[in-house]
Parts: sequence; structure tokens; C-alpha cells
Amino acid sequence: MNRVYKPMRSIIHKLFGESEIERLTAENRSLREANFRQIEYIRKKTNQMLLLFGTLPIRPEEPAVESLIDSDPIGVMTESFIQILEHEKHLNERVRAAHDETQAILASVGVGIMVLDSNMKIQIYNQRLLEMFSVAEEGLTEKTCCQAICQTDSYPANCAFERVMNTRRPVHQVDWVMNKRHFEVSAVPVKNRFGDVTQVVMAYMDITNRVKTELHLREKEQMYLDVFENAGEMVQCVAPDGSFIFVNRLWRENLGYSSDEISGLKIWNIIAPESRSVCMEHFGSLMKGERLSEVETVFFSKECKELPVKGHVTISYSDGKPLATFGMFHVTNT
Amino acid sequence: MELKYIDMRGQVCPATLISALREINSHKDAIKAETLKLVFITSNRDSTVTIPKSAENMGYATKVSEEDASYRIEIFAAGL
Repeated sequence: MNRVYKPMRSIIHKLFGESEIERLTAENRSLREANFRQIEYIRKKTNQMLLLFGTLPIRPEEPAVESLIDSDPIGVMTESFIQILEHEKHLNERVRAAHDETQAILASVGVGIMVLDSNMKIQIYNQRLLEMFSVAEEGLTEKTCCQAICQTDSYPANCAFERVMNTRRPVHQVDWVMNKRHFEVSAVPVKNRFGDVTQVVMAYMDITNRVKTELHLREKEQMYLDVFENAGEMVQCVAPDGSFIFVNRLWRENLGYSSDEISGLKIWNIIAPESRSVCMEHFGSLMKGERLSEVETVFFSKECKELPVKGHVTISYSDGKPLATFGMFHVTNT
Repeated sequence: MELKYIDMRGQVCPATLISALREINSHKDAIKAETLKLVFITSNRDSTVTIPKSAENMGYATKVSEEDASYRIEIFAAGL
């Protein structure tokens, strides 16, 4: 280098003088510094982008200066970022569509739904929930479920949300009562990749009418049971397998069985031996759906006493299958 | 479908990632058209994370497997 540089310097000195040499030297230094700054800029920006890609920065000793410019890492990564952004845009469109679908589903179901964060704050809710609990929509997402629904600042007894947060498992509450209304509640946790509960989806179904109907039916059932229990005839209800579903007081008194003994009995246990074959034919006919006129048979008490009876037997069905026979008898000759 | 093998054994990060991104960018249309699958062979373990992760962020599907003393990273159209 010096072998070339010294003669050159001598020629320039002769032609242009010392000042020109100094000017060229300064210009050369300036250009080298500018080039260095550009390389460092490329290296810095490349490393910033590499960091975003989750990889290591370029080592200080490599690649060579020429290689760094020639390989165009910024250009390569910029083009990759364009693809990432296009993909993100596509994903966002799919997320937006999924969000719209979810909103439509939430609006269409007859179940009150809300999503709570791990601090019980309401994040999402549907219109049915507002109607169900007569809740004002304004400021609802600023409130906790306790404040909005139960109107307290602490967990109510048997709170489904609290149970989900404690167990990290779904909770199904069959009958939760709020303001004299009955609800079936399902609470399902949403977990992050570490298994922590980040949200809880709460679904409420108003079952007040069903509960009232069931209560009414139970009351009616009890009323009929009382009527049959105190009837002046022997009443029995027999399952298809011959076991007793119900017998009344007079039936028990006449045949000498206590209430506890009924569950172990079958219909043929209370039929006198000589009447069993006829009775089994009657029972089989009923099971096939045939109607019987008045039935005469002989019952057999616990004390082996024969009891001639006469009465009527009918059969009831459920889903087309025999459910039970229902018989009322009176004693014909003691 | 055509397979294009790119042998990057001996290269380390970040050179492997930049090389892989360059190949993916160059062949993006063919990959998305499901006519080409890129197969990178690398000896650098870090690349089995950085290359698939970057490719997935770009919307491609990936598959990583170990083959002899190196790793095989496949880049192909998502949905295949």
C-alpha cells in the first residue's frame, strides 16, 4: 500500500501542492467514517428486526462489511414482515367474523350468558341476561357479577364463580335461587396455557316455571296418594317385573305386610298357589296391551291366609312401553 | 408436489434464519399454491425454533423432525 501511496503522494504534491493532499486525506477520512456509520446503522436495524424474529443479533465480527450489504438482511426481513402483516390481516378478519358469529349466537339463545374475568368483572353479556335479572346495561362492564346480579360486594352462598375459581373445574348448579326465581347455572373456566383460570363463562337458564310445575305435580301426586292410601278398596301398583310400586293401607292390613316389606315382594308372592297360573296369564295379557274385564282371584297373606278378591286392573304406558299395572280390589268372602 | 432441499448445515443463527426467510420469500407463491414444499436441513438446534415460528407467523405450516445428526424443517402451505 505504501509502495503505491508514496509515489502517488509525490506526484500529487508536485502537481497540486500540499494543500490538495490534505484536502483529499480529509475527504477520504470523512468517506470512511460515513461508510462506517452506514454499516453500523444497517447492523443496528438488522439486529432490531432479528430480535423481533426471536433470534440472535449479528455477531460484531461477522458478517464482513461487504457481505452485510450484499445479503440485504433488512430487505429480506421486510419482505417477511409484509407476509406476517398480510397473514395477521387475514387472521383479524377471521377473528372479527368469529366474534360476529359469537355475538349472534349469544343474542339468539334463550339462556342468559356472561363472561367474567378472574376478578369477577363482567366482560361480555347477552340481552337475555339483562332481561333475566332486570339489570341496566349502562356501566355493566364496570361491575362485578356480585354487584350486578346479586347486588352485594361479596360472594353469595354457594357462588358458582367462586367454586370455579377454587376448583378450576366446571360447575353445574341445578337450582340456584335469586329473588324468588330459580336458575340452572353452568359455570365453565377458560384457562391460559399455564392452566390458570383467566375467565369464567356463566350461563343461566330460568327454570322457575319448571320448578313450579314440578312442585304442583308433586302436590297433586301426594294428593292422589293420600286418596288411594285411605281408599276403601285394596289398591296396588305393579311394575312390569312384578315388583310393587305402591300398595295402600288396606292392602297392607289385609295381607299383613308392613311398608318396609313391600319392596322385597313380587306379585306372585301374594297370589294363592292355585290362582297363580291364571293370574300370570292375566298379567301377561295386560303387558301385551289387552284389556281385562273384572278379575277374580285369591290373594295369599303373609300368614298364608287365603283372601278371595274381585276387582279391576288397568295398565299404563310410557313411550309405548308398559309402565305399571294399577289394580283395585275388594274382598269378596272372608 | 415438488420438494426443494436447502442444506444449511454449518450455518448458525442468525444467518440460518435470514437464509431461510430469503428462500421462503422467493418461493411464497409456489408454496401457497401448494406446488412446492421447502425442506431445510440444519445442524443448528436454535433454528428448529426460530425458522418454524417465523414461518408460522407468516401463515405457513411447518414440521420439524430429527434426521441422522441434523434437523429437517419442512415449510408448506397451511391447510395441507
